[in-house]
Amino acid sequence: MLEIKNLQKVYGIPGVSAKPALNGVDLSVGQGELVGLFGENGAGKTTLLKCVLGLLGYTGTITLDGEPVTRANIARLSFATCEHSFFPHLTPAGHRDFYREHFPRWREKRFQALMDFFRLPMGKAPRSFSTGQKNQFEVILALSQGADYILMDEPFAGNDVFNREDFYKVLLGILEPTETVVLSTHLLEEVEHFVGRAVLLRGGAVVGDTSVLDLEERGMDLMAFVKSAYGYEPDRVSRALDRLTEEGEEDAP
Amino acid sequence: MRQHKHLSLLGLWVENCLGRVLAQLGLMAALEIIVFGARLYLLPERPMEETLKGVPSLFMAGWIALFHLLTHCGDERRAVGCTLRRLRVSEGAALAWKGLFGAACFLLLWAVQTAVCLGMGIWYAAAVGPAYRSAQTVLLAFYRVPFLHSLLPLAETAGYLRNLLFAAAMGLETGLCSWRMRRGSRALFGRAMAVAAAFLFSQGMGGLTGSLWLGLGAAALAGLDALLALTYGEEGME
Repeated sequence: MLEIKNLQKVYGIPGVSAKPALNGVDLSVGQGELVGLFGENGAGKTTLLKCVLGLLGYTGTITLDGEPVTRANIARLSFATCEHSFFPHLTPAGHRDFYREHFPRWREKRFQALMDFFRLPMGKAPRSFSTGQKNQFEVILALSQGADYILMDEPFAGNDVFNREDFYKVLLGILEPTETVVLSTHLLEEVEHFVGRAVLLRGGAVVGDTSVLDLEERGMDLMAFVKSAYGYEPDRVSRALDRLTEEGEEDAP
Repeated sequence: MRQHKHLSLLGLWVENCLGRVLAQLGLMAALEIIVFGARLYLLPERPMEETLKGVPSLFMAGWIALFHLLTHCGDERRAVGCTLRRLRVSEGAALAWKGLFGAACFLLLWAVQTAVCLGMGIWYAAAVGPAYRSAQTVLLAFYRVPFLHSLLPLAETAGYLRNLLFAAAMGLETGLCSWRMRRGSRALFGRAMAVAAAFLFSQGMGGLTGSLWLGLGAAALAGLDALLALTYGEEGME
């Protein structure tokens, strides 16, 4: 169980240029869950994932099966980011050897199968890959690390729709019941059938947390849930247009 | 075959950079030989130091280019830090291995430059007339010309020590620069140090005390920089 309690993160210098990014986040993610992390830009999704990984300092507590995240258990977490965390000059074969050494539960068979499926060359440095291929490679590494918790931050930014669809299908097919995925993305409709739970962040706090099954029972889709949690006003655009048209008429000579 | 987890880090830098480092050293040597050869044939019968003009500048450029290359091995990218900070070894250990690899590259630069200059000396001795040639032309050039003497300080032990300390300091700084860039910094201190070291390395020795102080100063600065970074700079500048 990944447990986050009262997580707070402030960027900048307190009292001078402090900018709160996370404001008391409470979240529990059980093993085997597929969680979608949604929210507008600046909602705190990336910051939350980086705090979980220990890449950023924070106040509050983050535990993995009751233990704080340290070098002793960090290998239970993997991370795929659209910024790409692989070594750009190291070939996939080189990555395989390196990861095998540092992550004791490295999944050799899965790595090879995914590399074959996406037809990525083993001997070519990923810096020369296309954006789509780089994303694929990033996710392949995260899935092959042997982690219990796979954190993904907009992993498919730049991939075409067919490519993304393939990936979701493959993901659903290969994930074991004990593997947990926390996927941060803007592509609500696409992941609706992939995630089992949706967590919504706004202004650094959780403003919505529901299972997709609950939504279906309530006759709602993910987009409707997000809109309602965000207090989206459907007539906002028409009201703005009306106002603009009225102003235009007043301005006319 | 299973490697040791620490050795795999060294392997990472080797696989990432060594090819480009060798290519860069080859380019530097080729340019120096072209410049030296052109001066030797266009301006014949000159003292060795005059024929050598331009070579120290190319060496300095090579030094700075090597520093730049080593700090841009791909590990300077912020996202790569996410991987480097999740390994089974500490980031301090990763920095140490990168520093070791960097120091080895600077020692290689020193060795290549010395070999190239020795070759140039032999070429010079064969090409000039008897007025500029003696049985000890090459040896005397390495004794007299400050740039050559700094490369091969002959019996001056402090000179070798200075060069070793410079290489160690530069190696550590390459690791630190990448470490800082991963956290969003421009690592200006390390770059400034590389430029200063490139200039000082190619200058005359300044005697036993001066050489030792220079080397120790460079190593102490790099060491202090590493200590400050590892003590106060754990969190990224997001």
